[in-house]
Order: sequence, then C-alpha cells, then structure tokens
Amino acid sequence: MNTTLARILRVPLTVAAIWVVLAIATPLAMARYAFYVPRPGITCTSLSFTPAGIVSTFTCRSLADIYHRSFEDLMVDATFRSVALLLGAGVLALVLGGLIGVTAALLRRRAFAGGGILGLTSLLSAIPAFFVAYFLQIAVIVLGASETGGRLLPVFGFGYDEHLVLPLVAISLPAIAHTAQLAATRIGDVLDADFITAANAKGLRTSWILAVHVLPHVRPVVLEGLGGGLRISVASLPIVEFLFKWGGIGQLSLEAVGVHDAAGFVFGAVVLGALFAVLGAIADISRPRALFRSA
Amino acid sequence: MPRRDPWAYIGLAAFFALLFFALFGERIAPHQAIFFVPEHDHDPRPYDPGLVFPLGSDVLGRDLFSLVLIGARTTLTVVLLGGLARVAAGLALAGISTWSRPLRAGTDWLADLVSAVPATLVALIAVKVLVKGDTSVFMFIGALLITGWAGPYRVIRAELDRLAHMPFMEGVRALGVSRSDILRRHHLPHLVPVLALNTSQQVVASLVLVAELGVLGAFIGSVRGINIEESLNTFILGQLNSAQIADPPEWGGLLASTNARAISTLWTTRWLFLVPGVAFALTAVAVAAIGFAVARRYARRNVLEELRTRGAGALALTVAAIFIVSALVPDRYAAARSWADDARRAVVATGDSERAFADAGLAPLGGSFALERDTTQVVEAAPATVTVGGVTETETPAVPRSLEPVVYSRTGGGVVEARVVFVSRGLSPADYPPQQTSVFAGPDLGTLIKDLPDDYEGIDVRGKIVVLVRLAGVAAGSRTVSGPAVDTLIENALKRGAAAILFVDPILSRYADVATSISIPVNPYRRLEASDPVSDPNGTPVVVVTPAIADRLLAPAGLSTAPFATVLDAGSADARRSASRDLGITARVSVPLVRATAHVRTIAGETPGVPIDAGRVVVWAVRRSGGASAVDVLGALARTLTPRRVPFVFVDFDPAVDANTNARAVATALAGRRVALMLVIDGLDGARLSFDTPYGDLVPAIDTYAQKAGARYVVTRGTESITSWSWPGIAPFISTKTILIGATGGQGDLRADAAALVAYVAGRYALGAEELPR
Repeated sequence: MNTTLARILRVPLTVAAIWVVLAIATPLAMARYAFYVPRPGITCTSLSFTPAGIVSTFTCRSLADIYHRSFEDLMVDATFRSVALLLGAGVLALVLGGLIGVTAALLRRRAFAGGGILGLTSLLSAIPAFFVAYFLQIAVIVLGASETGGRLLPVFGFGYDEHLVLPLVAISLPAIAHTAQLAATRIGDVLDADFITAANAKGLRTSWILAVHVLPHVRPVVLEGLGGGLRISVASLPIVEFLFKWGGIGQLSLEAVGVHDAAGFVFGAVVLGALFAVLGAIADISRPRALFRSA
Repeated sequence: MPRRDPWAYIGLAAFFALLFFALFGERIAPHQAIFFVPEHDHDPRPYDPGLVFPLGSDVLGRDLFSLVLIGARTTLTVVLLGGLARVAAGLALAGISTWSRPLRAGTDWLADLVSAVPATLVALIAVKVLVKGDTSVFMFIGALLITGWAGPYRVIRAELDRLAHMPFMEGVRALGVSRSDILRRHHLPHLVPVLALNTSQQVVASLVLVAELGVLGAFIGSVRGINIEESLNTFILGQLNSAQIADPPEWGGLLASTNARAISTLWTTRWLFLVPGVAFALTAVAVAAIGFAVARRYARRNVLEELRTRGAGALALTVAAIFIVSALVPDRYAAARSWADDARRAVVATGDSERAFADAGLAPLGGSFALERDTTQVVEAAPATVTVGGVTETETPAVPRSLEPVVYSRTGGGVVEARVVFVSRGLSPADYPPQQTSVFAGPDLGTLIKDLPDDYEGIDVRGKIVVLVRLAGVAAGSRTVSGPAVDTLIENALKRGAAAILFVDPILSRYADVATSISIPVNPYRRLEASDPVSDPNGTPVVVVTPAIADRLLAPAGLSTAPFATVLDAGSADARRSASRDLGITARVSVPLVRATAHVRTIAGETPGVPIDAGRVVVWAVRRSGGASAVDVLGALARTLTPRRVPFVFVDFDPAVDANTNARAVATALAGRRVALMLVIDGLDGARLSFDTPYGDLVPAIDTYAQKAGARYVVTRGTESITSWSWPGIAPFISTKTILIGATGGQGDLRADAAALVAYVAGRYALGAEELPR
C-alpha cells in the first residue's frame, strides 16, 4: 500500500481508538473521585432550607448545566472557537515563521545576527504556552487594562475581535518558532547548494533565486514545521483556553472533569485527538524522504 | 589547549544551583512554612509585596518566598523522578519494540494513542483518580509517567533505528553479540546525547504539567484544610480566611491555594502566581541548560569512558559532599530535640502531682499547689430519653445535637409517662396582647396573631406530654415578625399544666454553645441553663428535639412536624385553623437528674521567676481514672523544664462534676498572668497522638513539632470547627489559643510521646521560634 495513503488511513483509526478507549475508561475514572467546581464563577448552586440551616449544594452535573445550552450547540460552538484559534496560529506560523526562517537563513553567515534569531526562536519554543499566557495577561494588565475591558487589550473572554490577540499569541508562539527553525535550516541548506552558487554567479537577483529556486524545495519543510508546531499548540490549547476563558473545546474538556460530564470530556478529547492526528499526518507526509541533492 | 565549551560551565552551574536549592532551600528560607501572620494592622491578606514579606504572602499570611524555597525539594524531586520515569519507560519500550515487527507496530500505535490526547486532560483525570488525601508523591509521578512516555519512546526508537543501520552494527552482528550487550555496549553510549536532551525536556514537561495542574487545583501529595478565622481579632469583609494547602509545601500547591483560577487575581494579587511562576520558569531554563550541555558534551564522546576520568570522579565527590553536608547541617531549633529526648526519658509513674511539682521546684499559682473546693450541683445522672411505642431516642452529647434536655429553674428532671397532645406552635393570642410601640413601627406579634385560633383552646394539656413546635415567625404580607423566645413558649405550656414537654426546634442542630459568628446562633437552652440554673432535681422534664427526631417518634400517630417548622403566614388557610389534637398515644420522657457533691482538687504550678507580663504556655492535663496517666507527663515535664526556666504553667486538672466551674477556679488563680497558648492533654491510651484545634495557623505547626520530637502521631488534615470545639474546662479559656492533644487508634501508651512533644514545644519557645504565640 502507498505509504502516504497508509499514513492518512491511520488518522481515522487513531481517532476511533481514542474514542473507544476514552468512552470505556472515562466513566470508570470519573466514578473514583468527587465532583468539584471546575473554576471560580460557576454558579451551579442550589440553596435548600433544612433543619440544619441553609445548605448549599453544587448541582451542575454536565457542561450543559453550567452553560445552560444544549450539548450539541455547546460542543459545535466550542469546536469552532478552538479551530479558529488554531487556524489563526497556523496563518501566523506560516507568515511569521516563514519570514523569520528566510531572514535567519540569509543572515546565516553573520554569526551574531543569524545565531541571535535562531537563539530567540529556540527560547520561544522552550517557554511553555502556559507561562506565556499568564505573563502576557499580567503584562497587559500592568500596561493599563481594567477588569471590565481594558484600554489596551482584553485579557480574557471570547470574541472574534481584539479578544483573539492574546490567546493567539500564546498559542502560536511555539508553532512560529518551530516553523522558523525548520525553514531556516532547510533554506540554509538550499542556499549552500551548488546550483544556487551558480545562479548567484550568473547575477540573478536574490528575490528571483529565492522565489524560483529555493522556495519549491522549502515548501514541504514549512508544512512539516507547521504541522509539528501546531501539534504543540493543540497540546497547550486546554490550559490556554482555560486561562483566557475562551470557551473552546479544551476549556470545556477541563471543566467536564470537574462535573463528571463523561460525554463532554470524551467529545473534547476526541476532537483534540483528531486535530493532533491530522496535524501529525500533515507533518509526516510533508517530510521530504530524500535531500534534494540526491533527488 | 583545547577550547572549553561555555555550555559545560553553564550546565554545571545550573546543576549545582538546583541541587543547592533542593537540599538547602528549607534552611535558607527566611521563615518556616508553619509561620503564619494572620493579621497585620488592618491590611487585607494576602499581603502585598514589601508589606510584611519582601515578595508578599499567600492567602493565609505565609511568606511566599520562603514557601518557594521550602517547596523546591519536593517539586524538584517529583519532576526529576517524573522526567526520568518517562525516559526510562520510553527507553525500555523502544528496546523491546526492536525484538519483533508486531511488537513494534503495537507500541507505535499505543504511543500514537497516548500522545494524541493533550497531556493536561489525561493528567488531570489521572491525578484526580490516583492522588487522594494521603497518597504518596509516587502516585503523582505515576500520573506524570502515564501521560509522557510516548515522546521519549518515539525519539529513542528513531535513534535506535538509525544506529541499527550503522556500518559497525554489521560487525557486531557478525560477532554474535547478544541483544542486551548490543544495547548496553554499542547503543547506549550513542544514545547519551539524545537521552540527556530528552530527560531535560521531560523534566521541563513534568514541571509545566505540575504548574498547569496546580492552576487547575490538583497538586502533589496531601492537603490540609486550614481556617485561620479564629486567630483573627478583626474581620475584614471579603478576605479569604481558609484554604487548602499542600503538605508538604510544593510549587503546584502554591498555585492551587492561591485561587489562581480566578481571573480577578490577575488584578489584585498577581504576585501569588508570579513568585512561584518565576521559580517554575527559572527551573525550566536551568534544566534545559543542563540537558543541552550534556548533549553537547557527549555528542562525540563515550560517556562510559568519561565516567572513569578524574573530572567525573571529582564531580561525583562534590555531589556526595554536598549531600553529606546537607545531612550534617542541623535544622532549625535542633537543640529542642534534646529537650524532647530528656522529657521522654523522664516519664515515670507519678502518683502525686503536688509532690512532683514541689520536688521539681515549681512555684504554686496561689498559696498552694492545690486548688480545692467542695461542689454541689444538680447534674444529669444519665442521658435524657424519649420513648414512644418501641422507638426510643437518646440524648447525644456530640455536636450537632438532635436531642437535649432543657434544665433550668422552671423545668427540671424526672420520668413522665403520659398521653401525648400536640399543640401545634403553642400560639395563644391571649399570651401576646397587641402592643403599639410607635406610630412608625409595623405591627407586633400580638397584632398579627390576634385573629388567629388559640392552639390551647379546647384541648386539655394538664398531666400530659405536650408536643410543641418552635414558632420561627409570623408573616403578614411583606412583613415578618420573629416568634417568641423559647422560654416563653415553654413556660406557656408549663403554666397550663403540662407534665412534660417535647419541644421541636427546627434549628437545634445549628446551635453553637458559644458565640462565634453572627451567622451561627447561640444555643438558647444553654444560655437559660447558665443564667437561671436548676436547683432541684425534680420538676417538669422538657426535652428539645429536631423535627427529624420528632417525626420518628410520632410516626405511630401519623404526625409530621415539618410543615409547622416554618414561618407562619398569618393570611394562609393553615393559619386559620389550629392543628392541636390529642395524638392518642402515650410516651415516656426521662430526664434523670441527681444532686452531686464532690471534693474537687486541681493541682497547678508554674515555673518560678517568670515575669508577670510574659506570655505563658499552659499544659492542661485532664485527670482520668485508669489508663496512661497525663499526670506522669506533667511530672516528667516539670522535672525537665523547670531548670530551663521556660514560662510554663502545669495544671493537673480535676474535671469532676462541673469541669467549667472547676476551670474558673484555675482561671482565677492565673489572674494577671497572660496565657499565650494552652496544650490540653486528654487521654493517652492509643497507638498515635492526635491533635485538634480551631486555630488553623497552629495545625501545621503541631504536626511539625510531633514529627521533630519523634512522637507517634496522625497527621492533622483539617481545622476543627469552633462550633464543635470542646474540652474539659473550656469555658474560661474559650478565646485562648489551644491545641487538644489526644490519642487514637488501637492500644498503646503515649505518655513518652506526649512528654517529648510538649518538651519540644518548650524548647522551640525558649529558642525564640517565631510561629509560637507569645
């Protein structure tokens, strides 16, 4: 069987396997710990007047209880919110990662500049999105936001507007860094090739060389970097959404753990697993099997 | 001379920095984790950086910087073990997967599956399932392992694939080298850079996961529920006085206990996240630097050969020396341990505490060591009971109460067996004539009920047992008037000739014996008993019960009191007719009282020469007959502590007849002396000491003392509620910080443990421990 086809077929198999395993294991696991309030601000409390006084009971038993929306409506909306973040992160990674990669490759002979760019991207990829999210929120607050909105940027909440900025930065940094590093390495290799030296010797413009002779070799690598980087973004999606109260599928999955909503958790985990598997397949399929020199 | 790699130095510096903080963090911390500052002028907690502590405090008033230093050991150990476990599992599975194709396909598929779901989700569920109140950190490491082995597995497997196709492998295979030898001698040296880098990545990943789980409220190890409300003099609205804290302290727990999930904390108390957050981030960078340095160094060197060099030996020796130094450097207040050992050895049978105090050189509190008096009092001879048919309900002393007698001058004791009549809420307009207090005031109770039927009309309660439900209030439109006082309701039934009263109080189980909070009502029956005590054991027995108990008793009559346990709507149809009736059953109410006379003899002595204004620690040993005697502990403490001049008072307390009245005699003898802390010892027969206190800031401290003193004890997981807080003689000392020391579980003699514990406290007190009240 064709390797690419086999790799593509592994995606639904993996997703189905995740679904089966989680559908069996999640209810069993949830039966072994007590309900808890997943985050402050959830008002799922019933007050009952008993002889012992007023007793407050946490009554939410599903995500639908928390959000007062139907399960299907909630999950579809949450999935769109998460996919929107990932798409934004993908675009940023392609544009910024590609540009940084090209710049680092062109400056590869200047140790300080080239090394500095690569060092910076290494640092960015090493800082977990969780810390980036928190530090960004604090930075924006220190720079003058207010709890009701903010003069600079909103530091939490959902919206396809300026609300996107901070979660997008937090979630896309690893993808940008990963794409930039792979692109820089690959473009550097191509720029050192004999046929580029020949092109330079012929007096072709750098922009022409890049567009016509370099980028065709680099495109698969950029896609590979994008796939790998976005996998890191998917991994940090739950905590980033939770911190920004984004209301995406990652946040709902974390909240489902508290209210023992097995269906909500399994759905969220399967969606994230599917995204993970698809991105993994993109990265694997895009990975060049041989260097251009021997092709 | 070959150029030295600067990364090697950076890696070494990072390694030694982490090692130093892990081993010495607790010693160099400015304060201990058991040091709380519950109040600081009128500043709200958590304190801003610079106010009390340079980097601020946690929600309970502990130094955040110190907590980070103290938590370094647990956190670093867990993430290191978690990272190593992930890599070890990855290495093992990668090695196994080379044995056959199906095995490899299976492990590949499993790795795909594990890594497809974000680790935070799986780890959160795993921690919730695995980590319970008292589970060890190894369960947490297990949760880290479950979620993270797939990454190292993939990387190592790819590296093994690469190595398998190297030219030297043909020779190795031709020579017939075994699989294990291939892995150990030919693959492992090549794997070192990958393993080093991967281990550092996995340690960082574990660190991030610990931080994320902390924010989500899940953390390593056990928790303590700490409530410091009772240690406060001023109540600040909106201030959090209770929190779940990690035991032992660790960084994820710091994030969890700071309520970091609440977005508002970013504006108000962001240092709660920033201080541990920066520690997490710096550690991540340091670990990454170590991994990078090792990977670079061994990219082209054989690590097995390097292990035989002088440099490696020097490094190993340095590390060993650091460990030895950390083991030898004494911890804080180490001298107090010798106090504990001395007291432990000094425990012998002490028959006469007065003689023991005199021999030890203690000074009497008053004219003599003995505080004596003869006391006569009407006391309960046995628990009160109510019997209807085959159902008997008995008084339980434990809080919350569901049945208790009301014994004051207008009631009394005795046994009554008679028919039962129900008088609903005992409402009679004649008892409450309307009163016009002001032209601006709303109608009073008498006005609201003047047209309602009389619950006593047409029913003869003389010589019968009256069932009466406490009237919570009467509502008319938007206005609600509170019901009469409980004694008024009881006495209205008494004056009509009731032989006994079963008084149903819907909020009986909510009462506190002493005033603690405006939201918790004080028991009105106890107040009556204290202000108007009974003098004759014979009288009319009155028993107060909850609606649940009343309904159980009166089920044969088909009566449920629950509908009457609410505010009465004066305009409702129910209010227009009385539910009073003869229930057609007989009951037996028993409140056995006797007049008791006893000679009470409490022995009290103090360390001589202590200035009158010095804060004292009172060791209050409750005298019990039989079993391990707390008096023996007092004797040992008196002998060992008196020469050391610590400001301690020793009380061999006689709880006979009326413990609170007896305690007042001791309080009188203590007059003028300031009591900073009381240690109450009550019962030492058991396998382990147990501690109880409503002062949450003392909870971690007493456990620490017991551990340092080498005492057998059970970890105190929570703070006692002040409403259920009681010990013999509590009344005059209700506002004094107190720890109740008892015993629990099985057979055993805990005198030596108790003596060691108290002596250790004395040692710390003498050495100036900051957390002890003075």
